[in-house]
Order: sequence, then C-alpha cells, then structure tokens
Amino acid sequence: MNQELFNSICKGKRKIVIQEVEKEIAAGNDPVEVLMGSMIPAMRDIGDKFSRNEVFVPEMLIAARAMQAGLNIIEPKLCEAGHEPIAKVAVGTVKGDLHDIGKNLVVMMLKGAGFEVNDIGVDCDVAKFEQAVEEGASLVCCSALLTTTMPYMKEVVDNFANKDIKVCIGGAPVTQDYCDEIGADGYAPDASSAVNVVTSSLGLSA
Amino acid sequence: MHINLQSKDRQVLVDYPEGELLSEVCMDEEFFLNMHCGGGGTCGHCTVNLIRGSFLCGHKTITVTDKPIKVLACKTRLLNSLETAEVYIPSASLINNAGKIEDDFILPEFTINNQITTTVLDLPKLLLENNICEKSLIEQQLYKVLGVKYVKFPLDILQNLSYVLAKQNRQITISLAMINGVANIIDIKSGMHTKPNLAVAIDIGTTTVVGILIDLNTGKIFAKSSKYNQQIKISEDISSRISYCEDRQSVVKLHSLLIDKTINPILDDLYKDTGFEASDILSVAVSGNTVMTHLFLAIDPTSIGKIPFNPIVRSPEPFKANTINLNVLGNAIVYVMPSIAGYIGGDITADLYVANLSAKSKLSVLVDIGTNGEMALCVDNKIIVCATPAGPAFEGAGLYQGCRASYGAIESITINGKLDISIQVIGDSLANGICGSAIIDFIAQARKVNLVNMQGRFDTDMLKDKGLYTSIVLDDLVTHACIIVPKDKSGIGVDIVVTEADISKILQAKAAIFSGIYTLLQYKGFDVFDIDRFVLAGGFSKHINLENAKILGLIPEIPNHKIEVIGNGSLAGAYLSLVDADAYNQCHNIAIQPEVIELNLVSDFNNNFVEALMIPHLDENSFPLTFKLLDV
Repeated sequence: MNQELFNSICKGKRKIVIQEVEKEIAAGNDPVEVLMGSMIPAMRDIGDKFSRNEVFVPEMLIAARAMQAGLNIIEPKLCEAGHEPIAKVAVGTVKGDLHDIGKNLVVMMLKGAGFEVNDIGVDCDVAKFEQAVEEGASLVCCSALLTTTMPYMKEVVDNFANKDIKVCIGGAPVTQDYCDEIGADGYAPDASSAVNVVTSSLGLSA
Repeated sequence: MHINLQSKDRQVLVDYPEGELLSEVCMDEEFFLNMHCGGGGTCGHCTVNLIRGSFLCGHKTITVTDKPIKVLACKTRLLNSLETAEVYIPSASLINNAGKIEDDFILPEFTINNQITTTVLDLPKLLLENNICEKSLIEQQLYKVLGVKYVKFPLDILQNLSYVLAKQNRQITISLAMINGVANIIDIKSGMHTKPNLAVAIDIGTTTVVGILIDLNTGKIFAKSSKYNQQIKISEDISSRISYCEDRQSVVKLHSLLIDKTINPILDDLYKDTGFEASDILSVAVSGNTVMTHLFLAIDPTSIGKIPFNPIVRSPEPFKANTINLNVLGNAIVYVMPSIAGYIGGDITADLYVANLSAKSKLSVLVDIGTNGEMALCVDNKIIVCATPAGPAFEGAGLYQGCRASYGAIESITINGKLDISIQVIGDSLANGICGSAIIDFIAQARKVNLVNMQGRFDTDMLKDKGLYTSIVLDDLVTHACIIVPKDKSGIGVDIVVTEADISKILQAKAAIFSGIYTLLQYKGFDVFDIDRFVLAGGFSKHINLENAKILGLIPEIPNHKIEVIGNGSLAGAYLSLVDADAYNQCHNIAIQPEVIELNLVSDFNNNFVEALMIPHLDENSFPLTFKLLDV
C-alpha cells in the first residue's frame, strides 16, 4: 500500500494525490492494485470516520475531490487493464432539482467502494434514469434536496417497479419512512452509508 | 382528554379531543416546532418524547409504559386513555420565538416626493340649471386645485358621499394617490382634517416581519414594531413553505397567518404606540423575497420551487388594502417591491437601490446574508445576481446551542493568546446560547490561536490543558467541544459549548456565501481583489465583526474602507418607495435589469465551494493576509 497516497486522499491533498498516482503508473505498477490497495481503503477510512463523527462534511468533500483527481488518471488505465467493477450503478438528482454537492459525494463514495458509477447529473427525468439502465446500471440512486422535488422519486420507483432494477434514495428531506412509503429499495441518510445501502440492495456482501 | 406538554422552560396542562395531531396541539399551545418539511414526516425536526399515555403513530398504536419513546409530532395523534398523557418537547425541536429584531437600516439621499395628496375642498351647491353630479363636481374641483385630469372613485366612497357632504356644509378633506397619472381617491372625510398623511412600510422576512409607521410628508418614523412571521408555525424555511402549498386552501392558510396573525398585530402595535388609527393609514409598502410577496398576495408560490423557478408575478400592480384584509384604511394603496426572479426577491431589488450599486465604483459587489444568501455584482452598469442556500446556521439554527440574536444570546466572543475566552451577552442576562455573530467570532479567534485547525477541528490537547474540553453525545456519536461558558455561570444550567459539528455547519454556510461571491466574479472574469466596493446587507450584517468574518473566510479580504454595511435594505426600500415616488419607479427599473445566473449550473461552483470549506480557504492566494497572520 502507498501510505503517502492513502494519507493525501484522507487529508484532501489533491496535488500530492495526482503526483503519487502518476508515480505509481510511471513505475508500471498495477492500476487495480493502486486503486484497491491505497485509494479505496482511504475513502473507506474517511467514510468510517464520518459515521463515527470523527470527520465532518467539509473534510469529506475535500477528500472526495482529491480522490476524484486520482481517479481521473487511473480510470482509463483500469479500462485498459480490463478491470471489472463490483457492479454498475447510476446516480442522479431528480427532475426539478439542481443540487448536486451531496450527490457528487455519493458518487465518490461509491466509486471509492469499487462500483462503476454513471453520474447522470441534475434535473434527471425518468427517461434519463432509463437510459442509464440501458447502458448497464443495475441500480439507480436518486437524490433531492428540496421537499418540492422529492416527490419525483416516486415516479422513478414506480417506473422500475416491475423491472429487475433497484432504486435507492437519499437527500436532506428524505427519510426511511418516505422510502417505505414509496416502496424504494433502500434509503441512505448520508454519503457514507450509501455504500452499505447500495451493496445490500444488490444482495452483495459488504 | 388531558395532555401535559412540557419543554425546558414551560409546562401546560390542556384538554384536546382524541385524534388530534400532536404537532397541531403543540403549535396551538405556542410550542413552535421546527417543521422544515411542512409536516410531511420527512425532515425529522419535530421529534418529541412521549412520556406517558397512548398515541397513534402513523398506523401503529403506542402505549408508553416505562421508557420515553421518540416520535415525530407531525405523524402522531392523541388516543384516549384514563391517565393524563405526557409529552416532552426537547429544545432542539423548538424554534426560538423571542427575538431582538434587526430593523436598523441606512438610507441614501432622497427627496420627499410621495404619491399621496390630501387637500380640502369647499364644494359649491349643485344648481338646477347645471346638469352635473357630485362626482363630476369633485373632479372639476380637483382639476382646478391639483391639475389632475383622470380620477377614479371606489364604489364605497360614492356610497358614503351623500352623508359625508351633508355633515360639514359640503366641506371635505380628500386624499388621493397618483398612480400612472390617475388620481385614485383613497378617502373623503367631511370637514377639514389636519392629521399628517401616514403610511406603513413593512419588510416581510421568512423569519421576521418588521413594520414602521411614517409621516409621508416629512419622512419621520413614528414607531417600529416587529414580530416573528407566524408562518413558522407551518415550517421554518422557504422550500418547505412552498411544499406546504399543495392546494388553494393551504396557500390561503399561509396568507392568513401572514396577514391576520403577523402583519395586523404589528399594525395594532403601531397604532397603540402612536395613538393613530387604522383609518389614518393611506398607503402601505411591502418588501420581501418572492415567495413571501406571493403569500402576502395569496398567490400560489409552488412554481418557484421547481425548475425553471419562475414566479407567477414579479411586479404586482398597486392595489387596494381591503382586497387582502389589511387593517388599514380600506382604500389605502398597497405597493409591493418588484422581484427580480423566483429566488431573487424584492428585498434584493431594495438592497440594490439603497446601495445604489450601479453608481460610484468600477466593480461593486453586494451580499445579503440570510438563510438564502443572495449576491449581486455590478460592472459597467450591468448587474448580475445569484442566490446560494447558506442554510440557517448564521441565525443560530441547527447549532448545538445556537440561538437567534435575542435576549441572553452571546453576541460576541474574543479569545486572547492565553486562551481566555470573554463574551458579550445581549441584555442584562446570563448567557443562554450563541448567536450567529458570536460563532463567527469564535471560529476566527480560535483559528488565530491555533485552537482549531484549517479543517475546523479542535486541538483537543490545548482544550484539555486549559480545562475547556468537553465532549457532547449527539445521536449516539461523540463530538469534541469547547466550553464557552461553564454551567455554573450559564443561564441554562449546562455548559454552553461550541462543537466540531457546529463548526462544520458554519463552514458549509460560509463556503456557500464565499463561493457564491467568488463564482459570480469568476463568471465575469474577475477576482475578489478587483472589488472596489463591497456592500453587506441584511439585518445580520450589522452585527458581524468584519475582521473575524475575513479570517473565517466568509467575506473576501477587502480593506474596511471599501466595505459598506447597509443593514435591512429591504425595509429601507419599502420606506423609500412610500416617501419618494422616484425611488419606487427606480426600483422597477432595477428589477428588470439584472442577469440571473444559477450557481449550480456554473461548472466551477462546486469546486469553489469545496475550496471555501477551509478556514479561511484552501487556496492561500485567495486570503494572503490571513495566511500570513496565521503563519501557516
């Protein structure tokens, strides 16, 4: 494991992350090993600390940004190496809503856990989620920050009700009760727990 | 059935029928619950503890026996039982409903030039040979005295006219408002009246409503009064008020809470303080965010809550007060400050006018700090505006011991090199909590002495050495905290602390404001150091220590002589639109000018937000002075 890479992701030092990942690649090291050995454990560490209140949203966002910088370099290499993700999922903010900071964090935590994530952006209607499924996603995550846009999640859930596609939901106004009410497959109160919720909704072991 | 409701400092024993919703019972008994989601059972902020009795939670019947049970008040109903039901409402679920009101504002230069005229007419008797009516006679007289050509008479004034004319030998005092060249008759009284022409200016905030009673001819302010916007009974923030408006009935309910329970009581206060009467008020001007002006007019605001966020109306025509049941003269004219966009309201139009943003400087920036932060940039006479959701942390909401700037609130904090903490409390009181201005002071000062690091984390060893360390358990999780006031000196019997979770919330709020400013500048190709004039607006702005705000990274490092603090520009704008017709017209010109940008659609915003999460910032080039000061 590259301790320096691990530490700089945790501390959010983007420039050092880029440096370290480039160094690893230049040295001809296995990109899968870099990802699984140093980067994913760093995000897992941040996520665990977040659930223990040892890390708060600001630090998590900064770490996620550093992680993204590293992923930008390593993702093409992973493709070349034919690396298989745990599963393919799609993440989007629902129709009518433009908020994406929380959603981006979920994307990063899922990537950090080894998922291939299709980030379909903000203001996503059912057709956009459908398209992501056609492109291979077996689970979709819906985010909403506004109570006014939250009800759209039900339309997404209803759309996939008779298909073998799981739907997980989250966002500031969303609750477990709401999840039960609209019949979604999982609810995550924060980005860190999103990983577990997605994992168990897909019937994968954590 | 009997129910015993209890909070930290209040207890009532009341009677309610079975099936009543617990949240409604609490609200009726003036325990104002936080209902962010408008009672949808989604936000979890109205949690209460059931101590005794039977309740229906959702579809489940619960009978509390030994241990208290936590439930959402908005999803729980009363069930009959022999014993008295008992419910405890934790402070965290309550909205602090006592406030020091931010009604200070500054005014630009203006001339008194109001649209209301009162004049005395002695009408000649009608003669048989002239085929004329009383209305035409008054019109002729008005043309002679005031030169007005077009006159509009409300029906109720004509209905009363015969009696009014008969009383004082056809002498009348007539008040009229000029609107687009037409004289709208507001009032006709018999005889000669010498009362000043009075009006009321109102700032409708999401949280607070302020009214001032003024003399239109001199600009003198006779009295001020304010009250919490009683819509907080339904929910605290704009977006959940929008989601409450699912049908016409709910729009009318919010409208009524604003008019009947908030504004009319404010008017009553103003009359009580001055001895004037409702029938003396000839005009009213209101200013507020777009959702508030919609609800003031009983217009459905739901379209503002979804893309493309367009309101029903930005610039309503002046109208008569009796159409919305305001407790002023029925024919008084009501003016509404025009909005710029769904999330950029008349309050910002007013700020822009009061600050005269488009004059004086090459590059000006205006920031209104509130639950929603709005910012405007002006360059080459062009204005660009945007809004950023900062959340309520600066108003003390959502912080462990946060409170509004009310009696007993710590309003400022200083920390010296020996880590001695000194505080200033509003009013002659022991400290009850910490308000927004003080938490800015704390974080900045603590950063200066390295008590917190760039990420907002405490140096727990330092805290422990100085005996300031404590830990707080929140939702079964432990968070580090710094004791500001020990329990034996606080007014609430427990330590008053700042937790790391509080700091994290403030950092997110300040990052939203700073990155909004930064992104707006970047969008036009500027940097924070290009700003020639920086205007801070909003009631809260009057209480901020500018140096601490810079160290925190809330506002850019701009020399103080380039910073202006205008306070409640919204109220100032309402005032000016009453006394100065030009101001009102200018505001309409201003409202249609700005280019509105949606921050979430500017690709750099996210990145700018993340960089602004540090104290003061991740990038030292954005805060060179503070980085030098902190020696990092």
